[in-house]
Amino acid sequence: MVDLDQCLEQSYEGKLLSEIVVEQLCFSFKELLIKDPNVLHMRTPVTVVGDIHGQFYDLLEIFKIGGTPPQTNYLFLGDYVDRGFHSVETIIILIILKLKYPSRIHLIRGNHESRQITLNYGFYTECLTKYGGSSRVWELITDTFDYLILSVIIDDSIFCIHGGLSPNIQSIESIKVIDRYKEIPHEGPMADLVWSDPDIELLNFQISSRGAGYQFGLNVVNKFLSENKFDKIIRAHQLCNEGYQLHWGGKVVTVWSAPNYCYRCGNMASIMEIFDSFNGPESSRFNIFDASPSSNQEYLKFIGSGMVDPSNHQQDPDELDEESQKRKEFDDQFFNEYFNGIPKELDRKAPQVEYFL
Amino acid sequence: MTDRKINIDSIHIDNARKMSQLTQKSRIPARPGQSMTTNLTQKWSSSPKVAHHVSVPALSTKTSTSSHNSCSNPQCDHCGSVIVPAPVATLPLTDAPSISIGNWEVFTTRKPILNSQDTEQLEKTLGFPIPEMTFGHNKVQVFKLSEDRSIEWSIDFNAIDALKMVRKNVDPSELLQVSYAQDWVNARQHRKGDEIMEIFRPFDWSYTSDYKGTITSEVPMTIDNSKAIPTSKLQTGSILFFNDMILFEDELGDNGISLLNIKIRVMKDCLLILQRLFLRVDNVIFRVYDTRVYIDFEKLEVIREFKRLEASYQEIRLQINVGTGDPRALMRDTAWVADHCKEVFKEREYVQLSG
Repeated sequence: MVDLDQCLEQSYEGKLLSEIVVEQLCFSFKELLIKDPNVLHMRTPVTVVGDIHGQFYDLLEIFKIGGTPPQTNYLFLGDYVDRGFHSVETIIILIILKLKYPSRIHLIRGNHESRQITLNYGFYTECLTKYGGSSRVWELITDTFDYLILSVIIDDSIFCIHGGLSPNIQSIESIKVIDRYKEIPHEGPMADLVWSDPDIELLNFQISSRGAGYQFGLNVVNKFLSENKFDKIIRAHQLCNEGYQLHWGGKVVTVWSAPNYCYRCGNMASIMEIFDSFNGPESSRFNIFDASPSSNQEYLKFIGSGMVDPSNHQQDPDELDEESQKRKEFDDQFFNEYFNGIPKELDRKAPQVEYFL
Repeated sequence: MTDRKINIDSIHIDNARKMSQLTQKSRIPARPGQSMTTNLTQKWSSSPKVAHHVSVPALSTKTSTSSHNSCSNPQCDHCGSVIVPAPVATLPLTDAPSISIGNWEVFTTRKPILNSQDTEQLEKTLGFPIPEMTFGHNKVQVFKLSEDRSIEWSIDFNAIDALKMVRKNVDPSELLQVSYAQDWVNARQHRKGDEIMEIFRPFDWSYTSDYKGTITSEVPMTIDNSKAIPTSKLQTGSILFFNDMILFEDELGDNGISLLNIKIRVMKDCLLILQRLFLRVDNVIFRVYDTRVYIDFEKLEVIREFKRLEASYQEIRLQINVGTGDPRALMRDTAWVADHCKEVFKEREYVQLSG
């Protein structure tokens, strides 16, 4: 068995673990997950986290504001990988935390925890880049995805899934019987749980314009809640600018935990802290946060801000008179201080200018 | 909205950080161009009613020390040098660089995605769900001013106008379908007691749009396919201003991507805008719709070229060497895909403006 503490320490620093260590972690992770039922029960207090999408530094920010495991119980609603720059670091640190504190942290499967989707949306490419062209780490990690649980019930009253409801699922029993140890299929209850979305203008289920997938409405929600004696449904899956969204007065809640999604959306993120299940005003709250400073550095990598490298068009420093030179130095220093904390290579780096045609 | 209070109280924990940001920002010297630029570009719905009472000196390639150009963002108050990155280009995520050359003004704005209220309102107006990431405040605007500083001609690119041209209330049989749609439908029909469910608000979920920019002008553009964009002229000379932004983006429920992107580059005697709609529906189709706008500041002519490129997924896949480790990376490369699609439509429009 690998030294979890050492792995955790490395991971917190954003360092990659070797392929062999990843292999051992993944093996233990699967051993642990296979014992979990499709529907897991948790008790309050618990902090619910939505999509992360490889935004590792924002995940560290979540631990900063929500408490570090094991001090806080965490429920993650899925979509750990793809899109962001640090899918590997994100999923690995979550695996280590789960191994270290199995009863304190639970991970639900999202639609991006799938081989097919990760091929298209960045995780596969990231694994190749970070592990010298080998797809082994991607294979190891995506294999563990087949073991992730599908849903969680908190205090017998709050139902948590990644996406939404399914016409094939009337009761919890129909989730319990799903054979979940496989790639997420295109159709059927398992697909719907990770893919479907609420639509406030609807009453029943409707098919999406794409020709596959569902949107669900108020009657569906009411029926599901009353039949299973639940108060509300918490899910993730959809980006919201404010970090969370309440549908039908909070019967369905969307939690989104990737601030400034893809380093360009400028949205807020939140984690939902649930203290008890009495459904009172003090029972839960959204802890809203903005992109972490480290993530903002990555944002700066992304911006080409419409300005051209001054070295091309500015007067040569030699041509400047003494006073202008002094001013320039002052400005340089001033803005260096302003961008304090930004690594040297990003600092004052000219945006990429493209001779597109 | 009132329900929010009953159930859940939300708190902002990053007030302290915001305060420190504000403090830092307030240390930046105010620049004359700043307020005007923000006023200009604040409202996405506004028609270009712009008060132009600021003098706009012609821009020379050498930035003079005394110049404080109202329109051109990157200049420092103290020495006139170009500040990179400009202070406004940091957090909060608003970024509105601009430049003026003679009687031409170029404004660009980049802001976060629409909030839930704006989204709700826009979806009501449009009648279909908007893309997951709709940068409704982003825009690129080019104005040609006449001698009395009124707007003689303008073109404006924004997401809302582009989305207005997406087809809605379409017969579901005319819609694109995801590759496994038939399997999905078949799998459903085998379930007993399953009532028939209709497609909800059938609209073109791929967000394909023939949007070519919004032109405000007395002078109409005429179709003239003989006018070509002078690529040789565009390959020389240095770029004074460049911006690149997304107008909208959607992952199509993990079935591909629909992305409307716009780039602009300004040289001392001309500018080029490229708006590209990129669509990939996995295992189904690729589409690239390109709109290029070339403006010659000296000849006062505008050429707009619109192209539809298309290829089936299979056609593109066959052009990729599977031996490469990550074949799908190429399928995300819009430029590469554009080069490997077939042209199915092309049209050029032209207008000659008066001096």
